[in-house]
Amino acid sequence: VSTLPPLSGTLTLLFTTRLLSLALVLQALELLSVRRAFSEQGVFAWSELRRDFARSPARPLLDLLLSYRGFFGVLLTQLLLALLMPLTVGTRLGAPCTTMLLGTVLLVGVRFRGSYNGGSDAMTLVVLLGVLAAQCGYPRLGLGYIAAQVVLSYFVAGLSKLRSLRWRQGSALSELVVARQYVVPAPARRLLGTPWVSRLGGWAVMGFECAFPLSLLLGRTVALGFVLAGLCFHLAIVGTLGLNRFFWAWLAAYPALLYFSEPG
Amino acid sequence: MPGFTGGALSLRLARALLPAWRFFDEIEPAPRLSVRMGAAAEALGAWETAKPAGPSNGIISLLFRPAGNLALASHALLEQLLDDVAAPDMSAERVEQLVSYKLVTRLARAQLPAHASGCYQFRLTLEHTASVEELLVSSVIAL
Repeated sequence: VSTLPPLSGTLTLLFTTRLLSLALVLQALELLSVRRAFSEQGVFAWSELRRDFARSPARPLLDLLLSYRGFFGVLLTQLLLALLMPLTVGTRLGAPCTTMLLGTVLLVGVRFRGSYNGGSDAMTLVVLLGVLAAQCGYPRLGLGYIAAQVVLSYFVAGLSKLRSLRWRQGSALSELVVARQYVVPAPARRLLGTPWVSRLGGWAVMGFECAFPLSLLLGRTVALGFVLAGLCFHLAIVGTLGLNRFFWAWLAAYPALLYFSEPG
Repeated sequence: MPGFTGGALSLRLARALLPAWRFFDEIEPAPRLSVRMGAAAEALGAWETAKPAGPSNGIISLLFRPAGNLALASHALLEQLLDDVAAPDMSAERVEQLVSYKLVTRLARAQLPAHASGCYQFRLTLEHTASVEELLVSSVIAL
């Protein structure tokens, strides 16, 4: 680890934008592939959703951007800009490209009444805002914002679980894998349904999340260990709950964490 | 105006911008959508629970899981409807004008065969260990 070259701000920003680009490309492609859901025949028809904006002066603009054709265009724009974004780092196009991407992600949120996929949308926005600040000439501020939020995301989640009796008693994971909104593969359901595995797994999750701030305090080796553990954690979540968008959004936030884990 | 939820939408967007970062801290039973249909309102069949998307599919799911993520977004509609219905001044007439109600109606319709005819009804329930709690039952809707 000690022989690895230090991460410069420029290199960190480049890694971050490449990973963010991948996350946004996948998000756009996923939505484009279920486009029937936001057509007039689908569940998320704009003719119903637009009533949320009955009193809004922005409704004509939203009608243009969020009707089926408009939203299809927004997603294609997101796809194109996400592919271009890594090429714009350090150029005059960097900030406009990131700003427009931010706009498309916010429009997706509006289109789905706040967010499409909860926490992963939130982390995508965090990384986009951080990249935008960096592209506008404030790299340490932007990357610092991302690093702080990724640490908070684990630490707050860990503390809130610690307050829960079910998590402390060890039944939380076994209850989570039978929750109706998730279709957990049978082997994982059986494994986490075993009381001692659920208890051990629950405490491992809480321990990892609550200890995450140490990644910023104990140097690069420890930070790399937390990042590797985080990757395994998110892969396990994809394998059990299917939350793939979380994996890519958090992955895009990790370079900033590694950057600030280095002394000086 | 019934169904206007601009404030709620702003709140949800603010949550995305200022995330609370709390995941699965409270593990409560999730609401379930059931649908029944029939030739007439008096001849509706048995309740059938809406099926969620298929399970995670290994490495492919890591990259691309559109149906699964759409199912989660659709499930969030059930929770939005229950939140809206819980508003203190909500009446039965206003419930049916809610945007979230209209969207869940579409979600329920999507569970039925494309060429189904007659009418249908949906309900939201909470499944406890030993009982099923009925939270909302829609009026009968013509197909």
